[in-house]
Amino acid sequence: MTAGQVYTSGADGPFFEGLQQGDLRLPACAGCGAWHWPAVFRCPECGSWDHVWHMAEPSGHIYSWTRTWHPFAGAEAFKPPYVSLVVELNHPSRARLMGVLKDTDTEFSIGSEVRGQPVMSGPPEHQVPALVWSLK
Amino acid sequence: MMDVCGKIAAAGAGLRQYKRGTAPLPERGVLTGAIMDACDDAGISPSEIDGFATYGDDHNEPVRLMPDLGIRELRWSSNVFGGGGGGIAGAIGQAVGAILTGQASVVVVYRALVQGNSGRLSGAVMAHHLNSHMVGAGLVSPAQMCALRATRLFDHFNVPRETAEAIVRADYFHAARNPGAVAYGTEYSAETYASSRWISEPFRLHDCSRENDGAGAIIFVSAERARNLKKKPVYVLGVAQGAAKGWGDLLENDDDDQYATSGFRGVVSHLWNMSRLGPKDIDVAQIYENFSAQAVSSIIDHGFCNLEEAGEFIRYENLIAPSGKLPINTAGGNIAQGFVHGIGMIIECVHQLRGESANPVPGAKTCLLAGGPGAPIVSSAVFGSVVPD
Repeated sequence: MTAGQVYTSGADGPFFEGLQQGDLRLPACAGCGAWHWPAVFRCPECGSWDHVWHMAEPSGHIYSWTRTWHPFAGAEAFKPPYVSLVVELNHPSRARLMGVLKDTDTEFSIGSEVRGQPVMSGPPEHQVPALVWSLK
Repeated sequence: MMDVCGKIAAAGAGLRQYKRGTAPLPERGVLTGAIMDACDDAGISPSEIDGFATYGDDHNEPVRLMPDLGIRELRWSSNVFGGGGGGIAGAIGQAVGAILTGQASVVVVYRALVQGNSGRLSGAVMAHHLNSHMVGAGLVSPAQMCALRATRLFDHFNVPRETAEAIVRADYFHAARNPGAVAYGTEYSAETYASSRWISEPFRLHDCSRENDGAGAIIFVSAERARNLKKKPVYVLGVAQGAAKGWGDLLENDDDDQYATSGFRGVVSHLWNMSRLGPKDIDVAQIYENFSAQAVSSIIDHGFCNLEEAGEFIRYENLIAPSGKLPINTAGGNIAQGFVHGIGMIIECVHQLRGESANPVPGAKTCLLAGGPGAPIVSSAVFGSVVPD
């Protein structure tokens, strides 16, 4: 794909549908309850092909980050310098999600607590549902 | 199971490299030239080539190379999965497998990259990996994805940032002394590094490999055949590709104890078992650096030091030929020799073990090729000028 097209593996479609409706949803296996992220078609633990999407709090801590200075093709919607995060959720799934940090004037580091807000993000001609993060 | 160690050898190598956008021929023409150079180097007629292996989505289908090379029969062709340099040594593994099992006898491992034909490499690599999770976070390039891993390595595991600087400075030190390097004759200091502009923190421009136009080819044959050719054989002592559970294209959800690695956990144990060697037996290494910090974690993954020792081991003085503890990237590496998707690193393994390197490591008998780090599939190989007992 090129930047600007929405791409999902198919397994994670409900994640993006959820964000579009303002909710964070994450999948657990309907058979054994195991959390899987990225979303899977088949649970490798019990072999089930059925999944339940649970609502989750978009609350976590910074697992890693980078501040982008270079104007990369495909990221024109973001004005450098901007900070992208990998956030580990406090939710029992411990899923890690990506997103931009909103307020970069306050000091932050790995471990800083953040809260996510569902938004539409990315290239104006083809925005994708995403979480934008703010420091708690 | 078939023993691989020392059964197959590199017999010839050719590299044609140009400033990006200045190749004198389209990609297939440049590649044909590099293959002819490798044939001349080996003393083999190109008509004898019957196999090809490549990686990183090379666009040049071997069958299209047949007319210009006068190939009589194509018997083997393969391309290792993945858009990046992770498959570089895997392609060597393909050549080894083909020859050992009699499916081909003269196999070229190659990679060609001419911008006018294949576009920018970073775009081609991301075509594999980009998804809406990343696009929505402003993450669209390999530099940014590797930067995330680097931040974790530096800030969480406390590996000093100076280790990445040491990689870059060692690359430039070797390139300055290599007439075939883009940075030949360039004075480079800690100040030069510090003045390099930010790309994606913690990476500056000089932490990033910057692609060239060009093509490289290495000819592999049986060890027996290689001993009767023009140049000294460079034996494949071990080669492995793959990924361990908890590593791969996982939307940054790689296992916590693998996230800040370069992904070689599975590969290294196979590599050392197959070659009957360990990190202490390696005299010189070509450590693929798409980005400096990934070379740091690659050195750690391959067992030369651990996270705690990295600051002490990965120092500039230790990384330069002839006298460093582990001279790396002795032609200048992807960062300063030139970047045709890493193919130059295999060629430097060959040159180093024949004593043809611009920065020779005296008496070097073993050379590690640590392939593209941080890719979903990674691969590495060990070469030797002699076969260990």
